[in-house]
Amino acid sequence: MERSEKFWNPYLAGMALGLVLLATFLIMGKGLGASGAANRIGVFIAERIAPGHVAANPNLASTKGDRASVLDDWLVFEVLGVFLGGALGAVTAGRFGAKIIGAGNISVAARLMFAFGGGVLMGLAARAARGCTSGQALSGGAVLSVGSWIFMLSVFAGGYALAWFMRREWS
Amino acid sequence: MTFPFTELSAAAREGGLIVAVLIGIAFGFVLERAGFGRADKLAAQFYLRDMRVFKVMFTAIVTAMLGLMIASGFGLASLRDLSESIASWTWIWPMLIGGFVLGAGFIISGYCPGTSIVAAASGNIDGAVTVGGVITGTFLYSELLQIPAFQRFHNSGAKGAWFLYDLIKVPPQVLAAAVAVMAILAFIGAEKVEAMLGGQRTAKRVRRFAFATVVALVVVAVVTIAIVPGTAVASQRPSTISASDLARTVIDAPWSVRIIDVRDAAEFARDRIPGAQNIKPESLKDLPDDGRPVVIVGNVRGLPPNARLLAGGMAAWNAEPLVRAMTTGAPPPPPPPAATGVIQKPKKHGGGCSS
Repeated sequence: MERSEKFWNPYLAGMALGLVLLATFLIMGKGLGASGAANRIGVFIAERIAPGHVAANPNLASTKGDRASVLDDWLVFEVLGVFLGGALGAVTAGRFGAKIIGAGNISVAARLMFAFGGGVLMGLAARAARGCTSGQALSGGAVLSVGSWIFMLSVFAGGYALAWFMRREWS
Repeated sequence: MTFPFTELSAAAREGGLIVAVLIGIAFGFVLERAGFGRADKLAAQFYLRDMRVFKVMFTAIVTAMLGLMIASGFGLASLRDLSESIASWTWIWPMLIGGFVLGAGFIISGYCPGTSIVAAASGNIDGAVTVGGVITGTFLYSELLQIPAFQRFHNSGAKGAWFLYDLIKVPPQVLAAAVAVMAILAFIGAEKVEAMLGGQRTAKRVRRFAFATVVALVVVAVVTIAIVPGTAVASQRPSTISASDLARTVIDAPWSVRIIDVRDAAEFARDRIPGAQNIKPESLKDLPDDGRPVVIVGNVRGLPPNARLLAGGMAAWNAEPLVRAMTTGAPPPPPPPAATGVIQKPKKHGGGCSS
């Protein structure tokens, strides 16, 4: 097996992830997250392009809270860390480099369209669910929140329901 | 209660943000090593070829869950306070439908929001494009929320802070033990399915080690019920009041309850419960006791002894039919004798929170 194809055993990776999550709970009193930071970055970009539009929509304007910047939030910094940690992992495993995954059976344009469209759906869904797979499923799931478990089971249901239609992309 | 280090998120905010970056680095590194920076590895879950997503996710959930049970069992943290601070409240319908749509987006893009960041960091262009999509989607949602019907969906099925051990009414440790045992059974099932479909099975030694560790943690977590008196009982204390109960009190006997709103002043100015008093969360403990029960609106950790939290917050309040009837015609309730300031009818407005 090539070095770049070596991954951790899933159970050991899961335990390591669980310990990171537990440390976050105990040290910060918070869970891990991702989509909350995406929302703040979106508002930050909009503030630069169309400040009037942000001010007119209370859902956008209230994101900032009482802070000076909409990016002044623990999740934004945590996600910055996720990016650095991901890059560190990829570089040290010899997996770092510009590439497109999943374009074996479909055109690059189609693959990027699916990547973007799926992302938009997930952004909308994460706002409705008050979190994504990190904030709801993982963090809320571990503290046994009812809503998080509803969400988690629903994520798997949605994935399996559409798997057949997307089989060319992933075969 | 020892944990969490509240000074990290409040006073020494900069220190907390540095810790946030370090935690993120650990999170991103582990996700990358688990293979979660690659769309093909993630999507394989939904074709049952490689159940890596399921195994990693549930091992992580079980590990953190048991760790939290043990820490609270030994009195290092308060289970309910910490859980309420970690988890968002439950809104049944948006979470059910949001979960399904997120699952659909997952199989279409090959990533979830967190793993798309790791993919982008690994140089995967498709991952970076997904990150762009997620940012666009979260932004579009704020536009959709402008539509009143969509706002109603967003706030539907509000249940406040709600945990599986409240629903099934067993001690949290017992429920955690049951979840861990079910996870192990599901892992064994996943290995069998993979073997049937010709996939790679996880090395037997590692599997045994992982399962034995989980079982050992379960035993410790359950034993803490016996050695630390009161943990199971204390964590079952219901500390919320529903929007409909509060609305009835506000209409019938507004003087009998004291409503304390701990949200920031701007939010309070925009939208509040009649007779509510706005104070900062940190001055909550200095609140003089006037004998009346207290209802808290907003996010707060560690309730005063005679206080309950409004389940679902202002979103649940504004969605409550009694309140809607109040704002559309019926005369406003009389002000409580001690209240000062302007009584304002609540406007229809939801709190958009995304964790």
